[in-house]
Amino acid sequence: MAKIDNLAKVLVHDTFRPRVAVLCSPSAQALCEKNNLQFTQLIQPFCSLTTDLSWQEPYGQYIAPRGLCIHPVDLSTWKPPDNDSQKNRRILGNIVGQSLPPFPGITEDPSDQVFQKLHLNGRSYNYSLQVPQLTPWFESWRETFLKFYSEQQQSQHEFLNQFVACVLVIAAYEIKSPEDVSNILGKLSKLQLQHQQEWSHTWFFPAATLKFYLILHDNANDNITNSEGCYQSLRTTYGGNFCYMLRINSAGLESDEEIVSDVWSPYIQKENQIRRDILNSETLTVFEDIEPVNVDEPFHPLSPASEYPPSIPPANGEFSANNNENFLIRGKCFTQKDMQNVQIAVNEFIGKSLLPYVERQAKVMHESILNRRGVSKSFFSATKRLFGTGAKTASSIVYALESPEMITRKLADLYFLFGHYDGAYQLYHQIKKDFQADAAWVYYASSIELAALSHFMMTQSDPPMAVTRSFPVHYINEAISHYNDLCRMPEAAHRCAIIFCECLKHMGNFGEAAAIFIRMTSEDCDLRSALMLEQAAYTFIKLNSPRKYALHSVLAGHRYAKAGLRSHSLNCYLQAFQIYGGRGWKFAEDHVQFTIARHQASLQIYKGLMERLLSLLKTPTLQSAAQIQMFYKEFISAAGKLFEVDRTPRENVIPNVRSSGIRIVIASTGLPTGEILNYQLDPDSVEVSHWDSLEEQVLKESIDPSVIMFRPSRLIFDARTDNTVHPNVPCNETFYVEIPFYNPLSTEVSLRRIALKFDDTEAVESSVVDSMTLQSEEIKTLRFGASSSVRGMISFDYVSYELELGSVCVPFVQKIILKGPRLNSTKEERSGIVYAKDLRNKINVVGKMPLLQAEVENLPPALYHSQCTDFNLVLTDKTSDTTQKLRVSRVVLASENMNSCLEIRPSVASGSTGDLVLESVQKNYCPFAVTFDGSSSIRIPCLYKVPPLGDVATLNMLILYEIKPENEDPVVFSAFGTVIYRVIKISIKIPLLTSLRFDHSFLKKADILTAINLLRIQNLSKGRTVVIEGITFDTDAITIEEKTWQSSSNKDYSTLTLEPAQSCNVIFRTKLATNNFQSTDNQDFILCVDWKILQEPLQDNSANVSGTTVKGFHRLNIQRADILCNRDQSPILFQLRHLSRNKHDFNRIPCFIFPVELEFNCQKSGRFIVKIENDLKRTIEPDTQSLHTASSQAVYFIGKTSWTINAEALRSEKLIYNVALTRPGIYNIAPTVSVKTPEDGIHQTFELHSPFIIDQE
Amino acid sequence: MAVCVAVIGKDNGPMYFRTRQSGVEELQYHFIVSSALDIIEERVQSSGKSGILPGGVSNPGALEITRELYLGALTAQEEYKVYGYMTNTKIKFVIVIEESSTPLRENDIRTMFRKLHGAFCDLMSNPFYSPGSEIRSKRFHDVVNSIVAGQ
Repeated sequence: MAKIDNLAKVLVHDTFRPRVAVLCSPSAQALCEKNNLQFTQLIQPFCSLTTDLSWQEPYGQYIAPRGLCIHPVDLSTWKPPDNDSQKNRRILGNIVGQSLPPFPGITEDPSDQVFQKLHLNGRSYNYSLQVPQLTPWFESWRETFLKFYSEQQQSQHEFLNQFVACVLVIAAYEIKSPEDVSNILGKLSKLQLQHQQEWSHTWFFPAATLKFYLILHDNANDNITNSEGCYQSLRTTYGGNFCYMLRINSAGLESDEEIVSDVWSPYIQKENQIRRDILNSETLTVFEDIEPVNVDEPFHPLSPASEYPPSIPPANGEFSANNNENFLIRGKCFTQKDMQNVQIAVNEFIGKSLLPYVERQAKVMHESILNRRGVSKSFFSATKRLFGTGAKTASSIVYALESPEMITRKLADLYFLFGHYDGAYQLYHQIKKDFQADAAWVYYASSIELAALSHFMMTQSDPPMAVTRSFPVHYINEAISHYNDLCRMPEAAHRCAIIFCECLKHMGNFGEAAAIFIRMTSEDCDLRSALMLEQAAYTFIKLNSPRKYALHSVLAGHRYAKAGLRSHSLNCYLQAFQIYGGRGWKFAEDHVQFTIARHQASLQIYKGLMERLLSLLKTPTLQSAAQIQMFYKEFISAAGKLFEVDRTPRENVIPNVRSSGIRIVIASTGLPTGEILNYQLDPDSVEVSHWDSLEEQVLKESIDPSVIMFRPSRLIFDARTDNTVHPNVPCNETFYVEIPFYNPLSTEVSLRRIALKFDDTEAVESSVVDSMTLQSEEIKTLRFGASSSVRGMISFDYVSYELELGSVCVPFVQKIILKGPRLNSTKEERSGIVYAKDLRNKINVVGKMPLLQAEVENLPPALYHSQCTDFNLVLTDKTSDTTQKLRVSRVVLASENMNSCLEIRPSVASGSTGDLVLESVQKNYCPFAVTFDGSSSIRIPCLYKVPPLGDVATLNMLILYEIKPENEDPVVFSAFGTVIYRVIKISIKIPLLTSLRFDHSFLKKADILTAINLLRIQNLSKGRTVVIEGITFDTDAITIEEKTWQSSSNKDYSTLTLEPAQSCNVIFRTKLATNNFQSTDNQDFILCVDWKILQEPLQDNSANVSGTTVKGFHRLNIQRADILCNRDQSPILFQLRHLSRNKHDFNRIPCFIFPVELEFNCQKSGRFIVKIENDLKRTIEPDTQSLHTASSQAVYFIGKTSWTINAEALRSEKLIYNVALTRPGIYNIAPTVSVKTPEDGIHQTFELHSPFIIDQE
Repeated sequence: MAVCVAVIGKDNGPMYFRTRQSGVEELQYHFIVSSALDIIEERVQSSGKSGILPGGVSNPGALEITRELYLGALTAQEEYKVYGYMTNTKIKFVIVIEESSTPLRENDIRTMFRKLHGAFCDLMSNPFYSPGSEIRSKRFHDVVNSIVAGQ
């Protein structure tokens, strides 16, 4: 609290110091310059009164002005106030800019010296803050501002900044005779007088200025008696109280000299800083019409310019000035004693001449006020009251200096300056009413401001005075608004505000202080507004309202940015971020983050910059696309700058690498790298168990029956596979890594040179994807190929890529984070969060191995239901290194339930084709022995039977190939210990179309070998015409002898055309080859129907364009039994041949007789006795009106009815009998046949049936 | 009708923010609700000052219990009126009402808040909801929907 106590009081003291003009003779100046100091600079550290002195105010009270400090001003360098507000503004800006704020969270050492750690209690939540402990930029701004204000103030409403006295300084050595004294002093006095005449309002008492004569005695050179003589003559001339001899520069004389610390630098540096700024601003504004003021050459008519060693080199600008400054040793001729002497001199001046002078002047003024009060008051105020409008307008009243109001004011200012606050308060209070009555608003505002200030100082004096009234806060507000609104003197308002905010803060009235600070912001000056808002923000901390603090910090930051002070702006935003960050106010947070990032980028403060920008892009944000685009642009440009600084690619998360979607594909060749179009999940991972069981079966049954622990071969590693084992990849063999990239932004992202970063960059060779563009929220998967030439473990942990935006291209890396599924089996796993290992990215490179590639050839892109199609399975030896001693010796082609879908074509099945030998065909697999010659290919012709239903057919083939050491080399073999094999999994999905439907039925047998069949063909395809080109059997055992197809239009009998949705019956006669009849082979016959489908041409004007034709065939299984007779049950076959319909005139000839041929077929040779019997019961009754009805018709067989035949097997014997009919009607003219075989006595009876119609002619 | 419903947590961070139309409008309501929080703070503070029991003994505990949860109209701008409500656990509800719609009676506003408070209590009763986190409950959302729709 003591510190704060000082602050407000010291501020008031510093601001309102009695000004003392100083005039030096050139020689005196030269003496001071031995120390590299001007005289004013020399005495500056000693300007405070150190002894307890007092003066008597007119009522006799003794006033001890504690902390009184004079403000020496060198008249020779004094210049008329410069009212160039633009320039001042720039200087103020520079001053603020030179004192950089710390950055919470960025400044390396957030020690307690820089930051104050605060815990704010936002009602129910604790905010922890880092707030700068000091705001030196504000303080130096305030100091400079007040200095400027005090210098520039030209109005006559106050006297606080006027020269109270004048000190004339001469050097002892220049006085050789008493005439010299008067000479030199005369010149100086003339100068003073000149100034006083020219600028009379800068003097407090122009009529009776106090002059103080100071002789500088150089201890090192001067003769003390000479100096004493001078001093004495001065004393006699001007009186002892107005002269003093100051002995300085005694260094080097005494042996026990002490090293004098440089007490001047802090003062001078500040001074120089401002001066430099003035210089700079002048060089900047040379073209403006400003009279150049060269501060280095003070216009002193007496002093030749050469005598002044320039404290600032004129030309070389700021840096040399700075350097020079540092090398200057100030006070080198000074001893401790000299410093004491200076202090004593100042005390003498104040105590012996200044205070008595003040006392005298106060008394004079006091009396004159008492005398003149009554008159003027009634005179002036009465007229005012009568005629004054009372309207609050900016008044133009200017009081004469001799007017009682002004004298009162002057006295009040004198009281105030010299510590008589009580008296000052009374007087201010008294005249403010007069001013108010006169509507002299400047005077009024100024007097209430000072009244309030006097009041404050009274409360702060030690011991505190008894104050009856509480602090008049309303005075301040009133003063500010009067200054601002009525007088148009914003700077006066600012001074008032700055000082009072400090006072209010000291008094603990933070709310009011903050309000005043905020009031001081305006449109016209960004810098001031920024400073004020910032101070207001810090004040809100004291008020425990973090939200207001944050808001005002942001406002201040904004104004700072507008004023071009990025560091300060950054600090403010960082302050605000401590409140806004992570609280869920997304918009506010994003705005603050973005602004911070921008400032950081432009200030090149890179700590945490990328994280900040990423956090803007990372979170699912509500921002619009344009906003995101802006964030992204900033991100890229910042990253580009950062990369230029430290050349290492940063970690990034844009675009997201979907680590879990990473897929490793091994034992494949020739996959295209780069972007994967139509990315689909491989069925391998979907039906793992299916493949595994098949592999296990084949392995155990065909390759190595001794296997006990079966471990399925993995070709794919992705999120769904068990990734606790490393992927094994042989040396020099390419494996593929597929990585999905997701762009979470609503803006397009372009990537370049995307590559995997392997830990072993020497041995691993991997592909680079040149470029990729991701649209908003798009996922694309890239495939990389890689291979390692060295055995061992390799892993990729990063993806490297460059992000491109416009002309900027910035490299980044992104870590691949893989974790397996969450485990939930043990108690620890259940109670914690434990994930399984995922070793997808850690690849075990093993020894070299042969590699086969399997491809499917000639498989059409689309198939029809139940169609059969030929294709070739092409196996190619892709072994990269043929010198190795391992060879593929066997290949097993396996598929679940292979019979129903896959067939090895006869060409292979029948025998060997050199390097491929089919061993056997099992239910699910068929092994081949193979010999690969170099990089040759082996084709396995296959037939694929398309399933009859569904939209998509999946052809799954598992190919295992066994690897044996060449020449059965036992050494190599034993190295592996067990059988080595590798696996290829092929899964092809083919879309299916509906096409033809076939219904086969057996009509009847013509004889033992021939049969009549009906094939019904339906065209079910959608809008396609099908042409049936041929119906054949695939074997010689059966042939088609004759076929007819009932087609309405087609006269061409070689083909049959079916329009969409048309159907057609085909009747054909099959004849079994004689030699096949006896075959015991139970295989069914396969009927091949060749067809072609005309794909409709596109709807095009040109009729010439014909559609494409797809050729194919269907295979129908025809059961052998349908065509062959059942040998056991029906060894004999009969066939009747006769007319089917006839007409006969029964009226003329009552009996119609015609022959009927009965063909007899038998499978065996032998002697048969055949007898035909007429069974009357089986006569068909005529049932239609068109036929003559007859109650008793009969069929009569006439002629031979019994035969004995020696039949040969499979030959037809013709037996002819005659039938006689007596009436028209429908008859069954077939007989009942009984056959006897005399050898074995078998007797068989066949009832035959054959209708016959006879009409009346 | 209500155009914006916000639930603000203890730390003055939004737990739930719903505007009639999502997107562009939302930023504006962030401003409104955020500034309303300052007023809530002041209201609660001032009610705390006045809550000195007879005899000059301040009893904050008793005060908390008897404090009226409904804070009334916070600010009224040209187009909107902002109403506030603070639960005993310092959860603040803010409802922004469009001025142009048919005038609502004080009772209607109170009903809205009661409804919201009820839904919030239900939400807190859900063991899977971790207090203070963002509200994603569908049920709560439905209640807010009904408030926004003016049912």
